[in-house]
Amino acid sequence: MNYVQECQTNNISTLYSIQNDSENSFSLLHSVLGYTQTEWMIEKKSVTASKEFIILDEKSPHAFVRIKPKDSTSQSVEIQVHCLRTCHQFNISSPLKTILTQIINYENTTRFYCFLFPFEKKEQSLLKNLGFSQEAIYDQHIYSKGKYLDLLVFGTERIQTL
Amino acid sequence: MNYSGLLLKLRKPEQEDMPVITEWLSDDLFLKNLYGSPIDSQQNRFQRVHTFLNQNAKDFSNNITLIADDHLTHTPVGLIMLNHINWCHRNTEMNAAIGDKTIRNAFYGGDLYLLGLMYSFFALNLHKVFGYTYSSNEAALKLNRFGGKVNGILKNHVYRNGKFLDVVTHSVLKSEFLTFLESQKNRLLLKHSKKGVFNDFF
Repeated sequence: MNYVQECQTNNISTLYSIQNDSENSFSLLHSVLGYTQTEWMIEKKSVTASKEFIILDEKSPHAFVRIKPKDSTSQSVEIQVHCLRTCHQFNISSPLKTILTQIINYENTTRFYCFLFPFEKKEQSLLKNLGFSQEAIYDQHIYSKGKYLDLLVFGTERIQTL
Repeated sequence: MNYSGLLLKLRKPEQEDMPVITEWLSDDLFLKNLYGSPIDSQQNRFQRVHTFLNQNAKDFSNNITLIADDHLTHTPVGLIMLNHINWCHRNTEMNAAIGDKTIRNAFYGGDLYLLGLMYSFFALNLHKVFGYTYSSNEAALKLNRFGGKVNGILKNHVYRNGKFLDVVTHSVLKSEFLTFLESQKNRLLLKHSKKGVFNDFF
């Protein structure tokens, strides 16, 4: 059974070790662990720090989710989702939906959006299942390892509130 | 720095430009179409202009603000704002706005936009310039196709004046801009070519 846990120092250590031998290492490096573990801990103490969650089962983590600070005026939140190598064997859609529902309920958020690389197929499929659609492609937006990569923008329809 | 277009000339703002920029930031029409947060008080406007100058003073600032003067009158007429410059990925978000109400038309707007792109690609050596436009701003939508393309539409993305608005994202790569200049030098940009606007770059 999968469950959600707020990301703590012990989780981040695990993620660092996974990143080192992950096929998807660039993705993690780009938006999640672009800084060192020490820098991560410093950032975590900041008032405006993002909320970070791990979706895991009894044995190991399967996905990392980061919820960035809300844009209060537009009631929008950027999220980052990273599926780890083992995640295809598990249903992480439901725990992720739980996280987003909590954010909607407690933070008056009415729209989510997410940036993904074209090769992040698992994440794209996951978001589409949750009602996200691809809204834009930022071509050649990120420079990595000597070449420019496209970035896809996925977003949800604005949730109507009274 | 010498970036001259057909009608305008680009330069970094000086302290004596602060009152005129502050005045533009008080103009509803100027702010209506400018992508970003509203500025609500005179004090905030002045602070913001002060920030522009401070950011410009740094060698590798992430935000650069430029002012455009009219060739004929030598008075400031518009602003180019290069925000969130990413020196690693070599891209920036560009906003161009004409402050002088009397000359808000396609000729000045187009010239300003062209100068912004030239500065980004030829002075800063950026790889890509991108921008956001409210879907209601038809003039800017037309202008953003100047050598570039639309990347997509972010649905109901921002809240302005009581409703959520779609935001159109667009971008120009340096390679696309060079192709555009080459293909249009005897057409849309004929007057610019004759005046030698691109002479320093080719």
